[in-house]
Order: sequence, then structure tokens, then C-alpha cells
Amino acid sequence: MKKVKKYFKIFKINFSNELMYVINYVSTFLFFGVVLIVFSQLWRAIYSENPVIEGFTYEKMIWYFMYAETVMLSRFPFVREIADEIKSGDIAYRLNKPYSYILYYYSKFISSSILKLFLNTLVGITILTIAFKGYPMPLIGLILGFTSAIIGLSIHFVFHFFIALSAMWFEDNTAFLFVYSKILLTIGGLFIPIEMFPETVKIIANALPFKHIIYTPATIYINGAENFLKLFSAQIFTLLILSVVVAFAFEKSKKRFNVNGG
Amino acid sequence: MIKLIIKYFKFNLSAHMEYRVNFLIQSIGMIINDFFLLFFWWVLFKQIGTIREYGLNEILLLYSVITVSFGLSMIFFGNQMKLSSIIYNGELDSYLFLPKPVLFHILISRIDIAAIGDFAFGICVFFLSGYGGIKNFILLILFGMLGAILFASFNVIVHSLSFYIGNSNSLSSLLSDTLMTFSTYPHTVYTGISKILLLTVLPAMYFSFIPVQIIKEFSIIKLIQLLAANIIFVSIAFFSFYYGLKKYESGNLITKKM
Repeated sequence: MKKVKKYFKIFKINFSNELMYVINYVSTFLFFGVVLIVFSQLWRAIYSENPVIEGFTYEKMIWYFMYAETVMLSRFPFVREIADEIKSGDIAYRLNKPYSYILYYYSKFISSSILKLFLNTLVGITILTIAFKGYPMPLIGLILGFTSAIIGLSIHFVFHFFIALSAMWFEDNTAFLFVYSKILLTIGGLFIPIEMFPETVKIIANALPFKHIIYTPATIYINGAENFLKLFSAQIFTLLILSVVVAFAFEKSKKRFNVNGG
Repeated sequence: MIKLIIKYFKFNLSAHMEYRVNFLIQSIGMIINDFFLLFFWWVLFKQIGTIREYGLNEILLLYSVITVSFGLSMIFFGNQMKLSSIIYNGELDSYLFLPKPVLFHILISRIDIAAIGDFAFGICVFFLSGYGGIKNFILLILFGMLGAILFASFNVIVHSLSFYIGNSNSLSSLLSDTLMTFSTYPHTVYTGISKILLLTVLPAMYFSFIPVQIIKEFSIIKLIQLLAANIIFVSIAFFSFYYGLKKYESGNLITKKM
């Protein structure tokens, strides 16, 4: 219990820090609004000739996209911080501390991400409820989608931690971040739900873990309790496997640390 | 001025070449990154055919124009996205003493290495679009240069806000991202206020849509429109920067440029 308490403390400290800078979120909300406008106009043009595409109506598509984008915009960035610590050697100070390096960053990441997730959900729902003059999604989807989004963000944390670790081999890992983020936009199901993919791509996307970061929470959000247990357990399973792999990779890569005292 | 641009380009490139593997990873990474974006369109067009005059070829042409313009802009005017923080942090001092025009010097003194990947992607995609050809290629390079100047001018305008309202970094980046977001979707889907915005304060029409239309079907009137838009945005950029510069307060910060 004591062990968990210290990570909860980190969670609490970071959460209150983030609350101090709520003004910083305004530009994210505005960008969110811009993206919703662009996509709603794009999909309206598409749906003007096809009333239903792969089971998605125009309305359902926009709500799906809203929640997918909500999750996407809620990711707290930490890769540069770890990469800088690795390159400068400051990581040595952290490794000496009586906590797990990975869990320290996870507590920081998830506290900020949950706050962002909550605020972005509020903003997204408000914009669309005004635009559509009502809230047509199942209310249970709100709670289940939120829970699933937290697991999705945790899976994302693991991938970003892998990218951060690449700083031990590469001077700059920005390109990896860009490519990973585009994977989320595409086969991760942000721009377009996996149901709409051509058959072969659908098989590949379903086999990869990226779909659990954005697609699964957004699907649970629009469908509510339908298939929740199946999707959620697949998410938990993916998170467990990836967590074991990242912990193992971190232990192995520690051997590459070379810090000169002074 | 051209000589100075080339000198800076060579100097910055050789600095980046110190980390050759990193340079290659950044550039190739950006090409892969851009190709991923096309995936969305490929899936969409497989499902629905075309969207109001735009098919996959038109989207490839649109992306080609955008990435060539963006690439050239960030290669030669690589500091444009950092302008607001340079102003806000009081780091302009070191440029004020130099013999060349301040704004010009700030913009060219940095190169965004990943933008070389964007530029290469744009050229590749152009030849895949079905609109490839010598005449169109010359137009692409011309519009790439005009787009690069327009994009840099827009960024100078929005980042100069730091002179007037303090730290405008997030607002300026938001406006710049908004221009990019609107530019990368077919202009025919926009209606109402969005359409008016794209023709006025957000120059997406002149950055990507009109160049695509001219490559598809040459029109001297549209070319004049494009040149006029460039002149207007460059003038506003100069005015907003130099008028704001009068309000600049030095941070007495000692900086080193390496």
C-alpha cells in the first residue's frame, strides 16, 4: 500500500500543478474546435451522396471523431523530458531515488492526461451538442468510454516510453514521434473508423495494438455497453503485455547508461 | 540577399551533417510521416470514389503543392515558428546589430532539417499524381516558392503578436496550425464562414487551392490573384513586424548563436 501511495502523491502533485495552468488549455480547445469544423464539413460533403457508410451515419461519424480527437488531444507529452535526461545524464539522479523510474513518469503522465481528457470531453460534447441541438449518444458510453480512454492513454504511454528510450541510440527521436503519431491518425482509427478500411488493412489494423489507444475508447463511447467487456478486456490484456515488455526493455537498456561523475 | 540565404543554408546544413545518421532519420522519417497522411485519403476514396471534384490524384497534387511550399519555407526561413518566443524572450538584440534587415536575418538563420523530407515527399507525390510533366513541374516549383513566402509571411504576422500582447506562442502556433489544417482538405467541402475565412485572413486558398487549380487548368487571372495575395501578405508581415519592433524591449539577454 505504501508503495502505491507514493505514486498517488506524484499523481496529486502533478494534477494540482496542471490545474494552475488551465489557461494553457484554451489554445487546445480552440484547435479542437477548428478540427471539428473542418471534419464536419468534410464528412457532410461525403455523406451528401451516401447516407450510411459501413453502419456509420453522418451524426454517428462526427461523434466518433469528436471522442477519438478528444483522446488524441489529451496525451501529455513527456518524451523530450526523458530524452533530455538521458542525453544530459540527469537520469542518474532519478534512478537513485526510491521509486520506479517508469511509474514516476506514468503517474505524471496519467494525472495530466486525465485532466485534459475530462476538459476536452466537456468541450467536445458542448460544441457538438450545440451544433446538433441535442446529445444523441448513450449516456453509459460517457462513463465506459472515459474508463476505456484512460487505458488507451496508458497504452500510449508505453509506446511513448519506448520512443523516449530510443534517445540512448539516437541523437534526435522526433521523427519516431511523428511517424508514431501518424500511425494513430491512420491505422489507429482517428481519422476514420477501422470498419471503413479495405479488408486487408482492416485485418492488419485489428491485429495491431494501436487500435486500443483511440479506436476502442471512441467505439465504446458511441456504442455504450455493447461489446464493452470484449473490447475492454482486450485493451487490458494489451496493456499488461506491453507493460511487461517495456519494463524488460528498460532494464536491458539501463546497461547502456554511461554517466561520468563530477 | 540571395547570397546570404545560400551561405546560411550551406552553413546550417553542414552543422546538421555532423550528425549524419540523425539527418537521414529526420528526413526519411518525415517522408514516411507524410505518406501515412495519404493513407486516410486512399481509404476514403476506396469507399466513396470522389469528393466534389477531388479524387486521389487531386489530393496527391494538393499534398504536393503544400509540402513543397512548406518544405521550402521551413528550409530557407526556418526560424519563422520561433519568432514569437524570440521576441518574447528578448532575444532580438543580437539581430539588431547585424548589417542586413532584421526580419530577414532572423528568418534565414535557422534551417528545419526535417523539412527537406517534406520537400522530397512533395516532389515524389507530384509525379505520382497524374499531373506530372515539365510544364506543371515548373509551375509546382514557382508555386512552391510563392507558397513558401506566403506561409512565412503569415507566420511573421501571427508571431509578431508577441510585440503587442506578450507571449503569443500558443496563439500563434494555433493560427499557423489552423492554416495548415484547412489547407490539407479539398476546398470544395468548405461552405459559409469557413469559405470566407480561407479567402481572407487564413490564406489557404492562395497557399494550396488556387495553385492546384492553376496546375490543373492554367488561368492568368488566378495567377494574378496569387501574386496579389503574396504582395498583400508580405506587406502586412513587414508592417506588423517593424511596427511591433518599435515596441520591443530588450531583455538584456546574452545569447550565443552556434
